[in-house]
Amino acid sequence: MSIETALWRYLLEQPSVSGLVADRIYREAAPTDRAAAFPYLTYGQTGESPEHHLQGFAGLTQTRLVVDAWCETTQQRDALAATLQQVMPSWAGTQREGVTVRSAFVVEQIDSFVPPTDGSERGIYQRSLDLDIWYRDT
Amino acid sequence: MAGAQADTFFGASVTFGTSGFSYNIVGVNIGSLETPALETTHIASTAAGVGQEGNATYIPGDIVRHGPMTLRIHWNPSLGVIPIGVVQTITITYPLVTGDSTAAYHQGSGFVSAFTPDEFALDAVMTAQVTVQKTGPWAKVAAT
Repeated sequence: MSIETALWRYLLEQPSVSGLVADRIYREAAPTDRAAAFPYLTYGQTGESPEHHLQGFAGLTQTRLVVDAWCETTQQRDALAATLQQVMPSWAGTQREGVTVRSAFVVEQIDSFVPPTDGSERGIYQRSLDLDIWYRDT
Repeated sequence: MAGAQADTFFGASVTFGTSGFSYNIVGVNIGSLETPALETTHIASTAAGVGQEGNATYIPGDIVRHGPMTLRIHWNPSLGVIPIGVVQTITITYPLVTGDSTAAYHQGSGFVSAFTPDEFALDAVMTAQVTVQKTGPWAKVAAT
C-alpha cells in the first residue's frame, strides 16, 4: 500500500525519530528471523474510506493507520510517543509514493504493557498511536 | 419494461443547461410534489357509520406544488461560482441500466435559490447544499 510506504519513509526521514529507533521501523511486526533491538516501531493500516461522488472516485481517501512504539522502559516509550506526537501533524504534501497527504492527526494514544514470557521481570512497554489520515492520489 | 425495479443512484448526473455546473455531486433529493387537501365537510355531513372511522371529507386542490430540489456537493472554492438566480433547463439523468439503450431522466426549468455550505470541519470533506426551485412542470421520461 503506497500510503503505508509513504508513512514508513516519512518516519525514517525524521531525524528525531531515527535518532531513537534508527531504521527499526517495520510493517505490521518486527522481523522474526532475528530479535529486533529496542526501541522499534511497527506500523499498519487498519481501515480505509475512499470518498465518492455520483460519477466515481473523488480522488480523496480517509485512512486509519496505527503506529506502535515498542520499548524496554517507560522513559523510552514516553520519549518516542512525544516525538511521534510532534512529527505526525507535520506530515503533509506530495510524497514520492504518488500520494499527497492532506492532513494527519493523532486521534488516540493507548499504553500497554506486554508481560515477559521468559520468567524474567522485563516486559515490553507499548504505545499505540491511532492516526487519521486524509490523502489524495496524485 | 425498461429499467430495473430497484437500483442505486450511482452513475446519475445533473446538468444545468445554461450555466454549467462542475461540482462533484454526492447526493440529490429531487423534491416533493404536493397538492393541498381542501376540506369539504359541512354541517350536514353524515356521521361515521358503524365500523367506520372519521367523517371529514376532502377534495384535492388544483395546484400541484414542487418542493425544493437539493444537491449535496463536494465544495471546491477553486471552481466556478454557483449560478444563483439563473433560470435554465435542468436535467437529472438516472443511471443507465444494463439492457436499456437510453437512461430515464427528469427535465424542466428551474433556478438555484440557495447555496448553503456545511460547516467546514477539521477532519471532514468540505460539502455544501445547493437548493433548486423548479419553475414549472417537469418531464419525467422513462428509460428505453
